[in-house]
Amino acid sequence: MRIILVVLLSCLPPSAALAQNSGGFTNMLRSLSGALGAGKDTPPPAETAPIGIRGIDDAPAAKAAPSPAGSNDIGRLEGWAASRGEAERMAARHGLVARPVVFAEAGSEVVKPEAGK
Amino acid sequence: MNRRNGRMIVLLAALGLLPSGAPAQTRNFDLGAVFDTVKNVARSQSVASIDQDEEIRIGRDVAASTLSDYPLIQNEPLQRRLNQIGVWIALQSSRPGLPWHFAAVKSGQINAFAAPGGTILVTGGMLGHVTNEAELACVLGHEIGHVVHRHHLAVLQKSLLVAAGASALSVSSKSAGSEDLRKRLLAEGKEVFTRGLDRGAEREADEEGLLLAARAGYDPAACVDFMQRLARLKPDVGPLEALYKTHPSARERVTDVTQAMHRLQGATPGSGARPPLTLEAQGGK
Repeated sequence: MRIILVVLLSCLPPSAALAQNSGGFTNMLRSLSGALGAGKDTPPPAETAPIGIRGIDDAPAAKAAPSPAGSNDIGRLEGWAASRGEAERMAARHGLVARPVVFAEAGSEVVKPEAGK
Repeated sequence: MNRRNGRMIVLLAALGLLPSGAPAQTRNFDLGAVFDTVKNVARSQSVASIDQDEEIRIGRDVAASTLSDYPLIQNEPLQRRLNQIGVWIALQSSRPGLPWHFAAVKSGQINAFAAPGGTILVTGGMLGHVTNEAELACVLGHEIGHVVHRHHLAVLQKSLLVAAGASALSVSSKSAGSEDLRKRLLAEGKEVFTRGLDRGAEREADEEGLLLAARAGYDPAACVDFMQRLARLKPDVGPLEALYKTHPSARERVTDVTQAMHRLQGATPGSGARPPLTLEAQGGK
């Protein structure tokens, strides 16, 4: 059971938002682990990390800044923006008509494909 | 049941971590479900804490960082046309009010990227691969889906979890706020931008692309045609290499998108338009 608790604690993210919103909950579990003697053999929490996602180190994060050249390109890119009206006029020219489409809920009747498609 | 185990179960039950109705004496509760609940609550709280203005700011900076490596194709008519098509599709989404921006970038890869907040980049290789506007709508709709569902912010959250776990770092102890989140996302640069999302996110984006293309009046079967053509290309070399590092295989996607297409209500395969793609400089790789 100790192992279970250790794994459970390692799944609790100590992010800012979580800590602000539920720090009491996290702290309660952490104190609980201490009370039960868990943690003496605690494996590195990284072992429970989701596969394929790596962490962001503090050092590169501290140096991070937008690229000046890229920022110039963003300005150019934003100059090409299309308004709602321009988009709607383009759609009309291309014969596009917006239609209400949804996914059928599970268990309801599904749309059958047309012949030949 | 020994005393320690009994105490543990009572405490977990008190914290609401045992499934409701589970007898206190059972030891076979679904621990995986407990983990998922805890992680999902945490994730949703953190990602939700980034408001839309901040999301746009983060996305703008990330896109700026990425454009250093993927320069814009200097063709204003092409870029304006791409924006008209993209905005038309985005208007059919649940976040039509975002400041949507679309741009074609120089790269022979067949790929497209989405940054938080509504900036979407499409490679020249992709523009050269789609055969009509409906197929392009599926591609843009897929990327719009990532933005609508805030998939990249969720990846950031996972990265923060790993960072915190790996170094026993308590982000909360450093008073991390939105500025810290932004810096961390920037630190990942184009890697976060182009990083593979989990298969669930890619599948969700594929379905969103299909749905938005259909809502915008395009033939949803064009999405399947596009996927089928991708599936016929050799997957692990050349211009598709990067795409397959970050997406499920094209064959899986063909199956998933075909099934999703048959669940559409309000649009049948074959209904809708497939306007010819008249983007200039489609081969601007």
